[in-house]
Amino acid sequence: MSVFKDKEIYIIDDDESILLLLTKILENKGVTVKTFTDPQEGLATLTLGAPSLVMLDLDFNESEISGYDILKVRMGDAILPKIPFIVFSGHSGKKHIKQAIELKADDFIPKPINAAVIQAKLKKFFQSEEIKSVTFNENERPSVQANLKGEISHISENCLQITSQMKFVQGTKLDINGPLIKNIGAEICQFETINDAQALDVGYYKNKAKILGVNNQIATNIRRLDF
Amino acid sequence: MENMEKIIVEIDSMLEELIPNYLKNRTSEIEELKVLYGKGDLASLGKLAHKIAGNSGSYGFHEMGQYAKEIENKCSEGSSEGISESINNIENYLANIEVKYI
Repeated sequence: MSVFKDKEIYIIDDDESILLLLTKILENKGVTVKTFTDPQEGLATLTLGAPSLVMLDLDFNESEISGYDILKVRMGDAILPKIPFIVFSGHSGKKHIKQAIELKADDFIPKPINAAVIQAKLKKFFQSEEIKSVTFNENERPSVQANLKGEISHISENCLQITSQMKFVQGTKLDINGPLIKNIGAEICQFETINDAQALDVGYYKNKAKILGVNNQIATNIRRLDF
Repeated sequence: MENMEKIIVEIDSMLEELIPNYLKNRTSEIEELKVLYGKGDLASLGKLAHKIAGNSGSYGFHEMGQYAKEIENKCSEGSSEGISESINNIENYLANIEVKYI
């Protein structure tokens, strides 16, 4: 199944020819695209919608705000940092890239745009997201055996960290499944939370769990991960 | 306008339906470049040149992007020297390109 399936991308750029080009490249891959020439409109729609990713030009000719301003607004928002932002610009000197990174852009693509580069970056991005997604349930409380979705935000040979909308107290045993667990051969492992969940942004929690039963092969696989 | 040999530009066939309108828009921008140059409005001229430089290369018209970049650089230096030639180069380029879809 394509990693682009069911993905929606917002693109904000005041150059309509770039919007048409990117739309063609992305729709060719099965992505749903929404475009904005007005950055203010793009920002307002972002706060209402939930795209999979945003592609943002940093330089607007006629607007009062720049792409850098949008990145600053995003940094101060409760929800927007959860949406990946890939920025692009015709100014691709070190200071421009540095500024974008300091403003928490997830990636920087210099103009002129190269279709193959865009597709490869997005594919890698969405594949990485898929690998990190997990479903898990508490196996000590059979009455609460709903599958919950989360994302592994960190993993080492003896513990992992899951961000989700569920909080667990210390000592909770979890049953965790997902592509990354399978890739490293950790289906045989047991997971138990080390401490009480830490609240993050509205409705999200960070749960840290120890991994029991890690053998040499699993440890090697974890060390090879690009985390 | 000089009578030049055709310039063959290979463009991804995925973009075929976008190209006619794209080239039409760039051709109409030549007049805008000339007007801004005539007024000595290097700030606005530089912005337009920056836009053309960014989208030309993205579509595969790299030579036009290079001419636009030259204009942008001159404007940011505050110099109008050579800009007229670069605008003529863009005009000749657009008049003489032949797109081959691959």
